Amino acid sequence: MSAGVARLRLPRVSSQALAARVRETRIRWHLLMRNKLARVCVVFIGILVLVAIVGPLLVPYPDSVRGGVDLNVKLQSPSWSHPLGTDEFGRDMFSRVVAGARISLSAAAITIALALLLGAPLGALAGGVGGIVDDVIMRIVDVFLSFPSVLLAIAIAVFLGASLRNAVLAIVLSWWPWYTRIVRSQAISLKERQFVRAATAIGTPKRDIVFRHILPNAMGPVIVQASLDFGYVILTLAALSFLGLGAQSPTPEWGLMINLSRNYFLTAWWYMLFPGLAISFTVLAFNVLGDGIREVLDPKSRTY
Amino acid sequence: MGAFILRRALLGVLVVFGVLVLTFVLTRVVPSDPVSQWVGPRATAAQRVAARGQLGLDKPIYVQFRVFLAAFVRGDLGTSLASHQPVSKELRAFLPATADLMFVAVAFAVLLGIPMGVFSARYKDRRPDHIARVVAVSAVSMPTFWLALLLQMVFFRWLHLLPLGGQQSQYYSVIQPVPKATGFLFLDCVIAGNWGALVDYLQHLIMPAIALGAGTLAVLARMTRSSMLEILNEDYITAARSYGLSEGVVLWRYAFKNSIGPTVTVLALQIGWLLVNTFLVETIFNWPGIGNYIATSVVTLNYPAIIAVTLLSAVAYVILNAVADIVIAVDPRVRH
Repeated sequence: MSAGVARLRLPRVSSQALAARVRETRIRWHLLMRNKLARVCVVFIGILVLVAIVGPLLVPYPDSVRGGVDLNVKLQSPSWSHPLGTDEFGRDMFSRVVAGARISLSAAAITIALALLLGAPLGALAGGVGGIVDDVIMRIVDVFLSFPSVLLAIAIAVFLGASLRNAVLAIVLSWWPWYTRIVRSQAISLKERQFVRAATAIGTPKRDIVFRHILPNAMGPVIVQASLDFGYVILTLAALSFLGLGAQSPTPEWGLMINLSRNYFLTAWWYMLFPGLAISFTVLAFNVLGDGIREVLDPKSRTY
Repeated sequence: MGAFILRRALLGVLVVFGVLVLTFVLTRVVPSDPVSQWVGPRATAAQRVAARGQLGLDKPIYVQFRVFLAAFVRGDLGTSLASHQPVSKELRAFLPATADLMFVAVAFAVLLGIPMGVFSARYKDRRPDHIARVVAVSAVSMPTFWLALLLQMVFFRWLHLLPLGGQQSQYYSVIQPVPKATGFLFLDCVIAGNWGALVDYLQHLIMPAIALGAGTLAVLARMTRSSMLEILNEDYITAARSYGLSEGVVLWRYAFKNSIGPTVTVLALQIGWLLVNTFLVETIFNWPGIGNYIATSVVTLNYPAIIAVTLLSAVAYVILNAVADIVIAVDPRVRH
């Protein structure tokens, strides 16, 4: 009998509720787009994503992206043939900076996705089940959060070995607890809602309640937070690469390029300038857009 | 109140224990080979076995954890794989330079960031506010290490105003060294009354301190602005204004004093962030501090040094957070 009841699944989100949510999102999007700065950032990030997708295919010197050496043109200042100059191996900086967009954006996206994948279900479990499960998970979260997150990422990356993949893993391992926290607080309030009680009443297994009813409905705020974290993650990845713990030469990663430029920056200003500008504008766009989003979601907490 | 403090302190102890476990797991479970770091690449098999014994890696894992705990309690942070010196001794040697740098960076951030936030709130949506906000959001978006290089390029390469790096000019470090009294160069210069050396030291401090403090400055300005804006809407501020108090008094004596809480909390959290950024800034400015030591340790895979700093800063973080919570709880306005 219980099997029969379990199959009688309640819809996770009613069509009415879904329509209301879509309407709400539309209004918020509209509010966000009234903010001129946010509009500029959306366009900039759109272009950046486009560059990340097709840029590496269109660059003037694809060989420079792969690390091809041409010592005849090493450390040349910006010119028509090399608009952003060349590095110590004669590689075209423009091609490399453009190709770097794909690396930074995709690495950041993977980092955030994995941190969500790890952190969110744990948060739903902690908030949805409560009791000892909650205590154990949250004490572990406390421990992780008591390290400055970049420092923990550095320590983990050192032990995993230096590579871009390991840098991503290290940041994921130091970052997931923030998402656990957010999802947990959502889950706690969802647990008292009618639809969860209804599901409990008809005998839905605890596991289904947590992962099918609570988790999907608790994801809204954490996804917003995750998108706000993009800038932070890009900066951290660049810092790890700069310390030699992330991408390895000749990968055209922005932080690594700045690290390599250190030996030449007093003479070849363009070498350090352009990768740095690329990081700064990318992070700036995400940060300003994040502020805009925060303002729309919570007008009272308006900061910058 | 007493019960709250006790509970908070106990939670802190629990978290410190968790921090120790996590750090230990990191050193033992993750694939790494401290033995070959210890003996070097040309060691014989017998030497490697001996080194395993020396490092205690041949004992069962729980014994290793006990040894690790006991050592931590004694203040023994392990032995550097590079120099075979105790890590704690090396850290002590590098501490003064980093402490000086962090102190100046924090002073720079607080003395500039907080007034910036206050004025931003005062002139909300007008030009000073716009400028302050652009500065703040740019400062949090720039990689610290890139800002450091930019400063070097502008102030050393182009303007010839400031030294490229290091702590002192050669004249003061080699020819006329300041006698060591405390190890803190700033104090040593003052004690020796050597004002030339002091000015020289300060000149070397400017760029690293700005590079290190810029992010914190921005965060403090943002935090101060938002909490000031909230308070400036309160009735008691309107009342103070309607009494005819001058804007300066309203702003600083009435509003600012009450807005400082969140800013202090953020500042406490920033300390950990600052420490990490010393890794980046000190390498670039060749500053002889802990950050430089760790950045070198990262490249040479000197695990004990990295673990020691990670552990120490986590413990410091836990204590700072507990203290911040207790201070906030003591505040009569939030006492339940």
